[in-house]
Amino acid sequence: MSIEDLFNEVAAEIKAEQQQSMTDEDRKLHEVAQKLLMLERDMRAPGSARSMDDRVDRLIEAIAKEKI
Amino acid sequence: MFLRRLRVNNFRGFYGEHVIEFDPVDGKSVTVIHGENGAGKTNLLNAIFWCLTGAFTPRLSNPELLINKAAHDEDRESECFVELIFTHESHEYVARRTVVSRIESRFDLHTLDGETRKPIQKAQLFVERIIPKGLARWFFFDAEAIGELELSGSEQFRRELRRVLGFELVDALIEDLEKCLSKKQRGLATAVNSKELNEIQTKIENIEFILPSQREKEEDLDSELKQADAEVIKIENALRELPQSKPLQEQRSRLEARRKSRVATRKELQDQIARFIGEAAPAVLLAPLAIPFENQLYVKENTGRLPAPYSQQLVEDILRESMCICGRPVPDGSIEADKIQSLLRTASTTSFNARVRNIQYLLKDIQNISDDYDNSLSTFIKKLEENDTEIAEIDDELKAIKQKLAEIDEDSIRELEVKRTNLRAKARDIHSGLSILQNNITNNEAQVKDLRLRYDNASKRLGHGDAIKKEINKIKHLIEYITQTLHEQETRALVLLQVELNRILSRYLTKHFRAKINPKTYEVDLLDTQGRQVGRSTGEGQVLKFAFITTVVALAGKKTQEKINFLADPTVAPLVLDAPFSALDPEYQSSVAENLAAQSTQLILLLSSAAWGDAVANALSSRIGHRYVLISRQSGKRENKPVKTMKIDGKKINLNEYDCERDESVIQEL
Repeated sequence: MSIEDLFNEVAAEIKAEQQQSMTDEDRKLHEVAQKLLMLERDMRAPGSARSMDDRVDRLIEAIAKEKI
Repeated sequence: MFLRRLRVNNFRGFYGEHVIEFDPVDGKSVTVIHGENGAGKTNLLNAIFWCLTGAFTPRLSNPELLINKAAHDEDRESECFVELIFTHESHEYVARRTVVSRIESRFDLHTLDGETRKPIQKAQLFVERIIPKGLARWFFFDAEAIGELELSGSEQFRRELRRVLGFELVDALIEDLEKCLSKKQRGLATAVNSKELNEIQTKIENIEFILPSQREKEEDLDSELKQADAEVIKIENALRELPQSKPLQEQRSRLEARRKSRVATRKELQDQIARFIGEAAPAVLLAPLAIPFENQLYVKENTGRLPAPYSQQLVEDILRESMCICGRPVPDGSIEADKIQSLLRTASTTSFNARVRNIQYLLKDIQNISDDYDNSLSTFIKKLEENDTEIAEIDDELKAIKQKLAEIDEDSIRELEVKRTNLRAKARDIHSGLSILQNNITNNEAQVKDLRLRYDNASKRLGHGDAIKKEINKIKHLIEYITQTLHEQETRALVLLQVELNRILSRYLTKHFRAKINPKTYEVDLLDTQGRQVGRSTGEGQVLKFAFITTVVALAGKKTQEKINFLADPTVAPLVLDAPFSALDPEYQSSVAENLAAQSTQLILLLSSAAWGDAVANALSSRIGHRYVLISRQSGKRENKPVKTMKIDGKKINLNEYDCERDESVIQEL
């Protein structure tokens, strides 16, 4: 089996898994998790890194806005 | 990141300006740069590396001499710089690093929009967002040093690999979310004025305050240990070079490898024993109660509720057929029918019978496990003792070797041995400090978990503070989800890595070796058919290392990342390799070349003519976009000196020239 075939197989498996087994709640959690990761990445970016207290406050604020 | 063009000006051996294009040609994204030893291949690798990071690869000689000597002699004001044009996430950038003084450089970065250039502030930090510091060595690689790539699962290795794959950002988010949780929990404790919650939260915060510094210390100790180990290896290599100590050192290395494996076995056996005792202990404790309980089951059976003398089915059959088993009629609504109907209250059912059977089997299992406990435990203990005996024997042999080495009347050997002994003692101290620290970290983490549980239980008993509790639950939910997803992604990435490594090994190696990745430490082992470790420094081990690098880069690359569905973006960068095949057995060169080209998003190879055999040429020819040759020009007379040539596509090319205006390296496109 070539690596491309393997990757395609795994990709198809993941897609099927996502479509079939991801509940609305999981989909929402995934979306929020990715938003928080982007926020975390920006807050830790070299040159514009925020303090820990600031990061925590902004994360709490971002989570409060989300309905999970 | 995708490299588009390199411009070097008066950099090292390159006089004046030279340009190399990397843009793909008809979708072919491999760039090959040919050059003999000393023609400037390593300088070109370092031009790219230095431009982006300000640092050099470890084996570059005289890194302080950056300005081309001839250019400097002609004009002391001559400018030396390296400029790279690259694209990243659909934007084009131009990075330029200029030599300011012998030890200083200036780095400028601009976005390119057609002809317009806009400067980027904090340029170096911007580039570090694309390729984090410390990860550049995974992408810009002095492949002659591939032997130094450690696959032994050190903390640094694991950390870098996780960073390449984007997992470290997820760790950072989880860490911050836990702080969010603490803040909210403290808020709840204050809002409801609960002494108990306040106390638990204070304990959590106290531990959380210590943990980061403990983890930091762990990283420091790990790198100190790595350094001490590397120094020991260096000394052992030196001992292997000396004829008198060579055989003894080789024997010692073999013994130490065996000892390492025995120590790992000891750990494995101890874990097995702990697991076995944990699983069997309840059965051993329950066994004395199981026999009377089983007897009780059979006693009850005789009183009627249990299987015999009749079942629900029998009673139902009599009533349905209105006929008793003795042949008498039982009409519906008769006194007999009512009497028989009442038997259903005590009749056994199929599911009831099944439950009783299950209890009987369970009791039997308890009895069997208990009976077998002593035997199984002594088998484990015997194995452990045999293993310990072997370790003790190896230690004796190692002691004898040390003694023999000490008896050799040779100052250099004695000196190396003393250094080695001191370093080993230092490494042992670090190791034991590290073990204690790791133990403390594990205990603290477990304590936080336990305290959080206590906090949960205490907060549930509170009748108010619902709004904050809701927010706390949201954060917990997110932590749980992200931790679980990260775990799944990491497992999947490691499975893919292992599958791919084994695909490459089975396809390219003549021997039936396989790779195994330890999911905890990320240690990569090469195993033979009997499951024994094969040295990573063997020819096959080198293939494994190349396969590992390319697979990681491919996994992190855009073309495969959706297969993992990463939460955070991995690092995507080109793979630039200097002298990739020189460390490989010729039989593996073409397969490694083929694999490198197939797996990487962009590949730049710096090759000598010796590494460009027919097999490598065949493996790469259909994938090459641009191709260059480095020509070494000398100002001196030729006299009897040779002119090296190489044939590319049937055309003979001279790789060095004499009687030139100056000593320099020249880049020519083919």
